[in-house]
Amino acid sequence: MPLTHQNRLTITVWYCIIFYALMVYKWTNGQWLYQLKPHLYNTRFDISTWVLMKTGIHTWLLDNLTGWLFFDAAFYFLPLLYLIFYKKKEIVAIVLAAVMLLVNFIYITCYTLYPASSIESFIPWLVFPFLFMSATLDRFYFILHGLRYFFLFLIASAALWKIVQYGIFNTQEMSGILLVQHKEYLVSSPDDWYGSFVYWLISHSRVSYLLYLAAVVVEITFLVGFFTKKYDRLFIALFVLFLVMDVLIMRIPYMELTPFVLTLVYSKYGEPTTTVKS
Amino acid sequence: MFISQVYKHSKWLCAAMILFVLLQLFINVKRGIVATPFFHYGMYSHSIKIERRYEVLEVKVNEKLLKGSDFTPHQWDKILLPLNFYSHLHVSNGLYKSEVKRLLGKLHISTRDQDFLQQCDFDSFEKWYNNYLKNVLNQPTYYCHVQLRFYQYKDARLMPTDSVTNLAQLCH
Repeated sequence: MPLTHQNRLTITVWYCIIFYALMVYKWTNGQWLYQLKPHLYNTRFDISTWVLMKTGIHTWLLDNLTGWLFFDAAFYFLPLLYLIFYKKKEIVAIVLAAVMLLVNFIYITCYTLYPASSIESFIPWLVFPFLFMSATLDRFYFILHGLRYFFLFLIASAALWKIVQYGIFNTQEMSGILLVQHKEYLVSSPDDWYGSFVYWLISHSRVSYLLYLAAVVVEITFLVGFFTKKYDRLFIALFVLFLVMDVLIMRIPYMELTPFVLTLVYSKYGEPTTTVKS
Repeated sequence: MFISQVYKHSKWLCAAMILFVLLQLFINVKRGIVATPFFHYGMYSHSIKIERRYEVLEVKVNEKLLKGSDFTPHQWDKILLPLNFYSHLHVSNGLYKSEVKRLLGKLHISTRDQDFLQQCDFDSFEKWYNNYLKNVLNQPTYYCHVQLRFYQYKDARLMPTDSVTNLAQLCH
């Protein structure tokens, strides 16, 4: 079954639904820029970030309520604006997608320089605008599939890193990670159910190592997706499991990666037969 | 094959995709440095052993130690991350002096110190943090004290030691 313009619209709508669901989630958790009230930043080893920092925009945003509100408004409003224009005037929508790419790059780069979150999980907001910049349905189809491969690579490479950096060969690995990740929690709440659970995992290194090993196996399974689309539903289930376990064991919410699920859901559709908009 | 299909559709798109793949692979092979949107996805991949000693941040508000169990993961991060960032200001400044200037210089891109360097102004940070914490905790914080204490991992528990550093000392 070939991909249609209706499918493209549905993907765009779902992208917006995910984006705005996460927007509400972040607002309720005090994660908008104006709620984080950045006062300082840490430079990271990232050349693109350094080039942006050269503009001084990240220092202008420190202790700047007007700047935070403006940035939040621009970042959170653009997908909706894109959707409105996609239905009415596609050429304007394509220009808006290019603007979205620029705004997302500036917003996310600055946001992650402040004490908020690491930049890696924000990758969908940096690559999906390329999909929305597609002038034709064919191009949309190819970029959608390109993003699917990128997502498979992203997850599988996490496993490969654990092999080349020897984490997988250390049977104390997960216990060591849990101590680093939760040390403040453990010393302040050692006896509540979660503190006891983490301590139990730490002291049972074999059990915790099996969790680490299972994560590597799940991640490396995504390599299969490079050869067949047959298991994409399974990958969605594994990805959801990965998100749940990250929250439960590590207290790290990787929800921002969710838009990539769309690339797996719509991978079953073939190359469009026509580029004429129906 | 996917890439040959892309090539048939558009040579430019194909070239752009190949370039994207090559840059991503280069960043992975090179290790260390990244360039948004090309990242490493290798968090917690290096070998991490159980250590004897851990540095732990303790935040006391109104004479009480804040407990992780009283907060959601996001709230807990909001409490601790600014402290981590403040204590790493010297690392951030060091990165600028040792790498940013050198590598951007190679690309003939000039830099200004004010865009990369921050002062360890503890009074300003403390004032900001107290006010910030008031919003996170949704309660007045008439007394707030932060320190970094060494803990020993002993008998499957983190045990406090007397070795303590105040936050003001951490930045330098």
